[in-house]
Amino acid sequence: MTAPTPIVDERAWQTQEQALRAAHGSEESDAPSLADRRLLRALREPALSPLPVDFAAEVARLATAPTAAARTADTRLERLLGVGLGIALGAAALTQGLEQGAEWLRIVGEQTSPLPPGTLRLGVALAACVGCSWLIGLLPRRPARRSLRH
Amino acid sequence: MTDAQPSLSPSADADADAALVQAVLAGAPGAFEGLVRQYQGLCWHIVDRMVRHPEDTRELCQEAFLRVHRYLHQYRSESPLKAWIGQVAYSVAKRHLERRRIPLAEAADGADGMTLAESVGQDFDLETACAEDEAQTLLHAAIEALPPLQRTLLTLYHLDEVPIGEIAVMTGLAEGTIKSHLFRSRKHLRAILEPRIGVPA
Repeated sequence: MTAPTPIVDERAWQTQEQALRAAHGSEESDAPSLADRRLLRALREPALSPLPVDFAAEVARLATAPTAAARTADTRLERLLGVGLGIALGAAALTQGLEQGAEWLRIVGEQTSPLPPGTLRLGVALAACVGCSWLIGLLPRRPARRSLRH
Repeated sequence: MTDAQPSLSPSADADADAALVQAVLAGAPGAFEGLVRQYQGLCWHIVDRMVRHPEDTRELCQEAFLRVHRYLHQYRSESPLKAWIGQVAYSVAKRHLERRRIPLAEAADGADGMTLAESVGQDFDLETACAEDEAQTLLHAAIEALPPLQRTLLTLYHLDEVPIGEIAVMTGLAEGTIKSHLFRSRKHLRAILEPRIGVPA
């Protein structure tokens, strides 16, 4: 990229350093001192663009943002997959209905009694099972909610 | 201005650095913002001197501090935190210049042959500009005209008062090379002033 920089002679370096150090705070009005003072002032007051007032707060916000962004991205992906799955299931049901709906209607029409004997009792038992499962599912959540309040 | 200008004792600085790093790593509220506040000036100076573009400076400084946040667990206290953060800022700005194919430093031979008065351009009337403010303006323009590396070294050494050893950690340059860049840049800058205030050659 660049040619190697020749190493400066240590004595020349020290001479320049001492001259600048001496110029700092010096009241000498001779030309070399004046030149050193002006040089030193320009070096200590460079024209820099201003640092934004809110910079630190903004960077701190950005530093913690990736976690939130990743969480948002996960939720969004989950929702997207859910919608996709719903659409696929709906499309499959519609296709099946269109293809075999007439056959299903014919079979139902041929039945003298649409429901076999004992179906009602089985249906009630199934509903009771579902109800019980739902009630049992509620039980462990109550203490957890209570503990969160305290 | 000197080769070593510690603000506090080195061990006190190291302890303060370690405490700050621990607080940030532990996720203490406001710790990272505090770290940014403490070192944003240094980081801004390095990047601004390197790229000279306010918007790029802002983005690159953000990138530098996000890197600091991500890799802070790798900081081992071998060098002061200031030097480590400066190193991150310098490498981010350097990569930006490399991507844009902007040379970091002039070739050593070229610098010898170039006068800064020439590199400043024709915007300044050297014959008539003699007031101190005008001299300062001219010097600032001359500093701006320096290659990114030289500008940055001058700012780190004179404005931020970073010791040569820490500048070496930040830039990966040898101390002799840093001194050489500083010496030559200051010599050229002073050469701009000399004919205007009657310094004998």
